[in-house]
Amino acid sequence: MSFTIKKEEKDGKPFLIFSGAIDEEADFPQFGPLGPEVIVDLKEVQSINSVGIRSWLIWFTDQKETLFIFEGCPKAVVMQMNMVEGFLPEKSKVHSMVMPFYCEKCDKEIDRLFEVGKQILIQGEDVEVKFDASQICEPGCEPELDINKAKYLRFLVRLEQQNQAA
Amino acid sequence: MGKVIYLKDFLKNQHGTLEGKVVVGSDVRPAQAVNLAITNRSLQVVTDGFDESLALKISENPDDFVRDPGEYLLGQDSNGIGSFQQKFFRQSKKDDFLFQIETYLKSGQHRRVRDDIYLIADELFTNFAKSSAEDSKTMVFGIENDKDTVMIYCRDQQGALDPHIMLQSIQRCYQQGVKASIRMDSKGGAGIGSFLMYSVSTGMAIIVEPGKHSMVLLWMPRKAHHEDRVDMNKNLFVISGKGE
Repeated sequence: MSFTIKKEEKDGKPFLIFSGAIDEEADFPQFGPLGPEVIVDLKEVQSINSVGIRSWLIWFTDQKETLFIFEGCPKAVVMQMNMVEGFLPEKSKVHSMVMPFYCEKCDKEIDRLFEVGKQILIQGEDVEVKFDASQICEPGCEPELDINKAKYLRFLVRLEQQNQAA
Repeated sequence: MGKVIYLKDFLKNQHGTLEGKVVVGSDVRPAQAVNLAITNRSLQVVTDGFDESLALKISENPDDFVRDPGEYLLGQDSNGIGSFQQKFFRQSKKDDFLFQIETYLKSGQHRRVRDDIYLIADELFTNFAKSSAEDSKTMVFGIENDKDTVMIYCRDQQGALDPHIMLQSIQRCYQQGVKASIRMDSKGGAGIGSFLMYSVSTGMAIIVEPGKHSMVLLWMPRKAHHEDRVDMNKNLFVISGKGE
């Protein structure tokens, strides 16, 4: 549960893996300037509370020159990306996020990692999500995306508009 | 305490006070409910069809409401979903506490509210434990359900909670935005936890009797998505006794 940031390299770029609960115990290490572009993997982030939001904002504000590319954004973090304006750093992109599905037939919750620009397509103010239901659950099942798509992905529209204006 | 007033009539006449009243309005926006509660020490704002006679009954029986809020807010049918209750103290380990809640929330019936209830539990534990005056004082955290609604509460037997501080921090977030409201220079709380809890709920009750008890209670429709609940209006009950 305790929060860690592991620093590795991926495709020649610094690659940070965030893991655990982002809360009052979370210690964000100081890496110094990270360079022009950094990939941040959020798949292992379990939760974030109000103090964690503050720590996140302080840490990312210190890295103003870096473009952050977020991968594997879990629901708990996406919720804050929508609720807290400025949660995403000024220079950021979202590469992929966890999309929650529910299959009523199997009474099963299923998470799938979808990529922006591949399964998640931003078209102006709208966002389309493309998926093959047969690939999500068992054959013959019709799992549904368990979100209000327009509102859940609202932050992506804002981010796209922000990046286009920059 | 407990007379029902219709907000549109009050705004038209601007006569009298809303303190101690059940204020009924249609489409009372979340920020407006908080503003009304700040300018009137104790009141209940009900909106979007909430049963005003129930709000009146709660205002007339605050001690009983604290003792068993489910009796007032929930129906008899829990849809087979069990409830959860956990006692904790100032020195209790938050990780252990949250682990119990995570286990309880694994049920598929909570899938749309799971992350929000977890966040609420985290915030309530932190605030109640931090403000507890003594190591030996017990606090109780609970989750209860009926077929449509999930209710989350935390109460103590100290009665030191100041509803005004919570309401002002919520109001600040609505007025300035969440990021601008964060206490960046504080080693303590960030000052946005109450707003995060209020935002994801469709009802909040803050009941304080100084020297006796404090309770923060939130409720929400279990099947509504987080992103829909954030946009929904809120019923807000603030009942603050005068103490002895």
